[in-house]
Amino acid sequence: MSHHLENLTLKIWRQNGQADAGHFESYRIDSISDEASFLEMLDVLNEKLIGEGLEAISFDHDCREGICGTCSLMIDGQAHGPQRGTATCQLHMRKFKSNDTIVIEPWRATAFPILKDLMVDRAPLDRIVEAGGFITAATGGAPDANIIPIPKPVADAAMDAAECIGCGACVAACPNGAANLFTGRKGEPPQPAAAGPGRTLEPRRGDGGDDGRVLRFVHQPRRVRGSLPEEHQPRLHRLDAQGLPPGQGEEPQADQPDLARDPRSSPINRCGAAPRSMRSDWLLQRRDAAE
Amino acid sequence: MAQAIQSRGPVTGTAVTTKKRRKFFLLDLYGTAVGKKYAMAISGIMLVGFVLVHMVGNLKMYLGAEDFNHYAEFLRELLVPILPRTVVLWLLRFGLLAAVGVHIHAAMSLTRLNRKARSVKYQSPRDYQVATFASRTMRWTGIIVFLFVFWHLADLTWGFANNVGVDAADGEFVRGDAYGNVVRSFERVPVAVLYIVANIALGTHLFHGVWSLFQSMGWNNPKFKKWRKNIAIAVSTLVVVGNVSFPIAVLAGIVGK
Repeated sequence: MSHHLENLTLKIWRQNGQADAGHFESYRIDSISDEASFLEMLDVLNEKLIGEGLEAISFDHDCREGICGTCSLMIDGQAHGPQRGTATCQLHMRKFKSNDTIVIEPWRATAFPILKDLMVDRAPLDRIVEAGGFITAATGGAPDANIIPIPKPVADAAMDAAECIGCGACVAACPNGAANLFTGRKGEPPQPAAAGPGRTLEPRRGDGGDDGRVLRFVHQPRRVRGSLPEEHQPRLHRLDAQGLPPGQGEEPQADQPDLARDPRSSPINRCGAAPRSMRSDWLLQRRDAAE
Repeated sequence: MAQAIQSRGPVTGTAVTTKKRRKFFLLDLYGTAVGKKYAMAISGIMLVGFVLVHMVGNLKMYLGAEDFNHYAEFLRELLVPILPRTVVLWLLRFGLLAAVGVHIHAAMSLTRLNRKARSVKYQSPRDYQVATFASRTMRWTGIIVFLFVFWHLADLTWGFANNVGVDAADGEFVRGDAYGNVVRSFERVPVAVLYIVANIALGTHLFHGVWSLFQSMGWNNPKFKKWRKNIAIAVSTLVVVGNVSFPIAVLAGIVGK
């Protein structure tokens, strides 16, 4: 038997692009099931706004099962809201009470420019990961569970190593707006995979730093955070009629992959971490729709 | 069909060659946030060391005027047969001044980095989960302690603040009579209160400073991580209790003429 929360007031940050100053706007939710997730509550609000001919609130979300790291939101002054160790998508309305006022703000950091409302650009985290280097390798489909017996301690350590899903909450919560937790987590070597007889699961001095990877990580945020030179600032382009970024012309350059023909060959998708809006399936769909 | 595409900067850190010549490695290190934190921690260790020794030395007050003034004179005569009188004291003083300079410069540039890293602040109240009150007020407790040190020097080293609000009958600041100067100063209730308040600010500053210097220096091995907080509590409690006891002892008449 689900209960309902009555009379919620939402104070939500609305900002129309980076140039806009932005402001809080108040919304009322008359009644919502306590089994609704926080994002579902925002969906309900957006449905209502669209029905009234108003602009929906932009917020990031993808898997909604707590593993992708796309959702964000500063809820009542806490990154991902009041529930420990879970992303916003796994926060449910039962954590709130009737008549509550809930304040929702985007992540705030100079490295994370606000794109719209509650949506920020977290590309600097991708650049940190890219700075560590990456390879392209066909690894086939995911193997069936339990085909390779993995001892429990190794599996646990592997889960720990994968715990950071790159949501940016550490940057959002840090009083210094620093990505040190993210960088430290990604800088740790993938020890569980390398662990064998006689090898330790503990990170050891020198691990991960031997190839200069961690140093490249560390130098990356120094450029990104606040002091990124103009030519490296993120830019947004509109693609021309052929679906090409401006300046690439009709003839694809020899060393430039043909983005229009096969987005999967674009350098972006050869990178380990493409921005969330640029995943190849998304580009393919958009291109098919345009044709 | 409007599509947003982002042109991307160089993929690896090594792809960009910096035109600047390499600086001396210490300056290069100081140019980073981590280097500035090292500077904060190392100068902080020097200053914590001074504060602890200063407090322990002042406990001689409880042994009476003779012992206390003898201790004050001993500081001027450190290593006297080897070096002339007050030379070691001045060397220590210059070391402390340098530590204060580095500590303040690093704090100011870290604050500047901090502001730059979040140029638009959160517009709603934060609900801090990890950052303690002490850590969030480091700038203010630091400024309070810095200003207090000037008063403290004017009161008990230079002496011109020692005579403010004191009856002429009680005498004047006497260079070398450290005991008499302390008693005369703390018999003024507002001054005693000022010392107590400033020392509580110092204790708050020390609590976060001692705790975080382990993190800054990388001394946070899980084996002794749990000791960091205990050490910070012990150091700041020791300093506050010791220092606050002096004005209270004077007001209570335990230490007096």
